[in-house]
Amino acid sequence: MTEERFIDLVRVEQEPLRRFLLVLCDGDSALADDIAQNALVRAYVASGSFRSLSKFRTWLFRIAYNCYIDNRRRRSLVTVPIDDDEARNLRAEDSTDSSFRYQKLHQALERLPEKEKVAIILFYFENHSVKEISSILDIPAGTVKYHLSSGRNRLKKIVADERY
Amino acid sequence: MKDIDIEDLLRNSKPVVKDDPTFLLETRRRMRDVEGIKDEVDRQRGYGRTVLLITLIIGMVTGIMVAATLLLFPMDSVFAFIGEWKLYLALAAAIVVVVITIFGRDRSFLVLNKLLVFPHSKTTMEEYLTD
Repeated sequence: MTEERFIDLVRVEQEPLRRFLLVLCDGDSALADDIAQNALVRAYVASGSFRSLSKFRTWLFRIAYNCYIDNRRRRSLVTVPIDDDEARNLRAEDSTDSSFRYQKLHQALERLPEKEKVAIILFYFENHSVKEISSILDIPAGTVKYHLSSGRNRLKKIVADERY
Repeated sequence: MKDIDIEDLLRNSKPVVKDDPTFLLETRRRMRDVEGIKDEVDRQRGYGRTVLLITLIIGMVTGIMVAATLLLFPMDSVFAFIGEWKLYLALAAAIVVVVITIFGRDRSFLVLNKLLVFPHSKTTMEEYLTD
């Protein structure tokens, strides 16, 4: 795949990809864009192996999710614990899209277990089918349905508890 | 709260991503930085396919030769022929190549390439990235 062809495809997919990572990164747009760019570079290097067996979008999201997992693993190795107030200030001033961060629904999303959160984001925000989510997360379709159902119930409870 | 409510709430709360014209520019810059790695990965992949094809052809030719030998010569003379140590050595080498090809996958081609053809070539992605 040539660079131009790749960029043309990316131009169409960049917004959903950045939105997906923005929610995963709890509203930290700088971190989300950094991971998105790393994912795109990784996809470009591997583009020779892309055989159109899956949709380009699904393939790209799968790479992006793996990049997010790698990034989170790396950060967890170097993270120095800081107190909550300091963390809140850092996020608000430096890297958090506050209009997004303080919506209660998104705060509730942050409290979901990882797989449930990703399944909900992909299904409701990005309109991916269960089959596509199964391919992105590399888990069976039945498990995706379980995560969606469980995530919905958990979200409903969190939102109700906070009198949304 | 019913399911449909939370579903509506989710569908209506899609976050808005700020338009950032520098995003694609930065992506292009990073892509150019790894252009060399991409070329090398593509080259190695092509090399891997060639080796796989050659292995397949060698396997088929060897199979045909063995079948022809068994059909054309009496079994006694065949056993006497393979009794020579050089043939055992060749058979062992052939088995090793087949085992490495099957179980080593792409990595084995890189290692064989390093051992037999290009001694200074790289065998892992880490070597490319740290170069």
